[in-house]
Amino acid sequence: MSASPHTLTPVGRSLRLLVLGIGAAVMLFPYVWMIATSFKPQAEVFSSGLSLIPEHSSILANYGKALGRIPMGRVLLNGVVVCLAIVVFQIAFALPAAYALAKLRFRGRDLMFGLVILGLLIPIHAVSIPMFAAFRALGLINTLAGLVVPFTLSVFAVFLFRQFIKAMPDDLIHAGRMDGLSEGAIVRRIVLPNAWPAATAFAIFSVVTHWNDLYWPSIVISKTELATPPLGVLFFRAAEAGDDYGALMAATVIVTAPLVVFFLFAQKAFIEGITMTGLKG
Amino acid sequence: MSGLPESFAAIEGVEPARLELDGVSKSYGETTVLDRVSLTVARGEFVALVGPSGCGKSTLLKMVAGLEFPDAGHVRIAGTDVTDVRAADRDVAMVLQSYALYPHLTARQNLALPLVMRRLTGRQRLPFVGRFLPGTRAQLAAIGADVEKAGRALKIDHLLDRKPAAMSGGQRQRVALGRAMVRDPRLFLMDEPLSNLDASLRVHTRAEIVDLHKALGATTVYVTHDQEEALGMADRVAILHRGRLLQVASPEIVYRDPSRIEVASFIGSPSIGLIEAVIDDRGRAIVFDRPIAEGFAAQAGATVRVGIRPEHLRIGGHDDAILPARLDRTEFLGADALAHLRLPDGAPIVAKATPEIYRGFVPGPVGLAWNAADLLVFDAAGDRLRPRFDAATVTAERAHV
Repeated sequence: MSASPHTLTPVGRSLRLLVLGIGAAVMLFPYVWMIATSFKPQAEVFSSGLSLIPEHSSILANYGKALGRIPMGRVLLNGVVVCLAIVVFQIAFALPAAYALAKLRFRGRDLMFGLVILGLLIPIHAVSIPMFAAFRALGLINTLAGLVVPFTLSVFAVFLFRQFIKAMPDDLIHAGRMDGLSEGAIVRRIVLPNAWPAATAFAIFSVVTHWNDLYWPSIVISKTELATPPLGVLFFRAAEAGDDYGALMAATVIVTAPLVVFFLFAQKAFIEGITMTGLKG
Repeated sequence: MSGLPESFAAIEGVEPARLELDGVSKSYGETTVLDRVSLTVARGEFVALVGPSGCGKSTLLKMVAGLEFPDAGHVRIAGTDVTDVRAADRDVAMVLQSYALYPHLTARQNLALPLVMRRLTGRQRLPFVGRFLPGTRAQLAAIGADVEKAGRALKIDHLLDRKPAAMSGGQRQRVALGRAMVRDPRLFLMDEPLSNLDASLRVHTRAEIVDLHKALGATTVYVTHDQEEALGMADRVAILHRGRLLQVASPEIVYRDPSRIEVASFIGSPSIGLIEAVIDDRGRAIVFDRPIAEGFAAQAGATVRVGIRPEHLRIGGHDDAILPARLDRTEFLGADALAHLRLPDGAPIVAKATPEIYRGFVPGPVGLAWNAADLLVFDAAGDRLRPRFDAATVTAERAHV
C-alpha cells in the first residue's frame, strides 16, 4: 500500500494496458475483418479458416467493382455536401437561438427552453411519416435539399450552445453593446468566436451522425446518383445481388474511410471538443 | 504618468455631456435595488458613486449605460431623454470591473472594434467584400492610426498584438481603459476599474485616471466601494445606501459634514466611532451619566448616536477626560498609529494619531477627550442633529481644527 492511489505499480500498469488492449482489439476487430475481407477473393471469404492475410489478393477486383458499379465519387460528394449544409445551417440557426435563451430576458423564455428540452426527447422516427408526406407535397423527395432540411434545426445544438453561452461572462456581452454592436453583431463577432470549442464539438457530432445516417436518406432518396454513402452501399449490395462480400466490404471501406481519416487528423480537436476542455481562455 | 495629458490633448474631444438621473427606481421582484435616485452630473465633472456592496451602484451605472432599464424615472444625456435607448445607441463608454476584453481578439482589435462599429457602415463591415467598398480603406487606416495613438498614450503600444490571455491584470486594465476612451466618448463610465489590481498599481492607476479625465474632459461617473478612491479622485462623491442616494457633495463635505449616519460610517478609515447617548432635559447628550455634548433641540429622553472620527479622539490622563476608557493596544501603521480602546460598556472605539503621540502608551485605564465641535451627532432615525450654536460659533470652532 505504499503507492499513492494515483500511481500504478508496474504490475498494475501492465494489467491496465492488457485490459484496455483487449477492449480495443474487440472493438477494432470487426473493422479490421472488414478491411481484410475487402482484400479477399470470393472463395477465401467463404472458406472456413480464420485468416486476416488473404492468400490471393483480390484488392483490384474488389475495389474496382466498388468504384465502378455505382458512381462512388458522386456518392461521397453527396455525403460531403449534405453534411456541410446540415452543419452550417444547424450552427447558423442554433447559435442566435441559444444566445437569446442564455443571455436575453424576455417573456416566455423559460417556456421556450422547456420546449427545446422537449424537442430533445422526440426521435426523428416518430415524425418521419408526416414529414415524408409533407416533403412529397413540397417536391423534396429525391432531392439533396430533402436530406438537409429536416436537420437544419437542431434542438441538441440549441441546448448545447445555450449551456455554453450561459457560462460566458455577462460583461463580455455588455462590453459589446457599449461598443455599439447590435445583438446580431454580438452573436457573430463575440459569441461565435468564443463558442468555437462548442461549435467544433457539435460539428463533429453532427458530421459523424449525418454521414453515417441511413434511416432518413433511405426514406427520401431512391436514385443512386443522389445517395449518401451508407445508402450507396445499400444500392451497391442490391446491384451485386448481395453475395460478393469482398466487393461489398471494399465499398464499405471506401465509405467509412473519410471519417476515419478525418478523425486521425482532427483527433485532438475531436477529443477536446467531446470533453469540452479549453472552455476558458 | 507624465506626458499622458499632453498626448491626449492632441485628440480632439467630443463635447462632454451633462447627465441627469431623475427619480430612477428599479426593483427585482420584491427587492428594491434603486429607490427614486436623482443625480445630476455637470459637463466634464468627475462624480464617484460609492457605497457598500449591494447598494445598487452598479445597477445605477448600468442604467446610465443602457444595459439595464429603470422601472420608473428618466435618464437624460446632454438633455436628451435616453431612458429607453439601448446601449449601442447611447454613445457612452464604460470600463467594466472584469475588463471584459474580447478574448479572441488582440489588444489592437479590441481597441478598434468600437471604432469599426461606429465609423464604418453596415456594408463596409461585411467580411471580405467590405474592404473593397469606397472609403473603407481610408476609414480603416484612420482607425488604425487612432488605435496606435491611444496605445502610445496608455503605454500599451508594445502589447497591441497580444491577446488578453497573454497579458497581466494591469495590462488588461489599460487595454480596457483604452477601448473605452479611444472613441472620445461624451460620457465615461467606470465600474470599479481598479478593484482587480494590486495595491501599488492601484494608487498609480488612480492618478493616471485623474490625469486622463483632466486631459479628455469627459463627464465621468466612477463606481467604487473604496471610499478612499472616491475621496481622492472625484470632484463630487455620491453615497448610495440600500438603493437610496444619501448625499452628493465634495469629498471634503461628505467627510466633515455628513448628512446621514450611514455616510459618516461609510466614509473615513478607520470608520467613525459611534457612541449611543441620551438627550437630557437641558439638551445635553449624556453617556454613562456624563454630558459629552450639548445644545440639542431633541426631545428629552431621545436616543442619539454621537460620532467621533478616530483622529479627533484624544487619549490623555484623567484630569481633562470627558469619558473614561481602557486602552487595549496600539497599532503602528507607519505614518499613523491606531489605539484600540474600549468604552466603560465594553464597546470598541478607535483613535488615530501620529506614532510619537502613542509612544510609551501601555494597556490600561485612560481618559478620552475631544473638541465638541468635531462631534457628529445623529438622531435615532440616522439624520444629522446639529447643535443650536449660532453659525458664527460653529465656523469659528471649525477654523481651529
